[in-house]
Amino acid sequence: MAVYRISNPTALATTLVFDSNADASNDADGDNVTAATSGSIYMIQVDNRGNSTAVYLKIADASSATPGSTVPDMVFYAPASRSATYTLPVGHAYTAGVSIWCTTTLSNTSSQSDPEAEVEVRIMA
Amino acid sequence: MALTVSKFDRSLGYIMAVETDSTNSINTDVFAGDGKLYSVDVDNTSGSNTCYVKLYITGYSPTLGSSTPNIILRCPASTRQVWTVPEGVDFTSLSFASTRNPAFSDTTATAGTLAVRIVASTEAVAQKTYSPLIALTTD
Repeated sequence: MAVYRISNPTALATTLVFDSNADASNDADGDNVTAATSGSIYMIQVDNRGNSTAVYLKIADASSATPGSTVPDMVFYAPASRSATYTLPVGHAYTAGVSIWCTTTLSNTSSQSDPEAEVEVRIMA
Repeated sequence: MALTVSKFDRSLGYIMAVETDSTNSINTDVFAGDGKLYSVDVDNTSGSNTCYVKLYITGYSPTLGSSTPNIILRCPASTRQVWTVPEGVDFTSLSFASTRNPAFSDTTATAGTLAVRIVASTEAVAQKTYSPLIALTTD
């Protein structure tokens, strides 16, 4: 028999961001959610099970963002009544911060509507 | 650009699309209908600029620059990133293109060769094309 002992590897992600009611109107709480100016995103979960309309989680690599005028660097879709999880094991680097907002509005240049019911967002970074 | 779409096996519902050089010319309805998206592999290792892959999953004939993408994935220069969606995301039709900037209206071509590989399932399509392996008959 052979016995191997392996030390636990360093945690992949060090920060879990949880927004229990992600929206667009209260955008200040979506600014710089990781409280870091640089790092990597490993997982994004958008739990839209409470809504009958699809939502979009929009992410800007910036210390702050203004929904409706800031152009998001990434957009993640969650269908109606579904939860969607996007994972990236190697990590996606950001260089200015992670600012987020969640909306039912697909366009970036018009007023961003809030989801009707609560949408939970989790980000591992 | 050259797009190839192939099923893994006829008995499986999974299907893969490989675009060897995704550009600002849109690939429309690559899976010929609806399905579920599981992963998007963006290979920008030969690219000298950040690129943005725009996926349209709720409309059949989107137009780059005027239609609004449902998903935008950023890939920095000289990197390869593989986004996976373990439980999948339903689509009615999947089209995609790649641009230099994130704005929906942007149609600027990417720099360098950008490969995009997408894995999806199209169980409904597979079921429609099934042939029975065993036919039960009565004499």
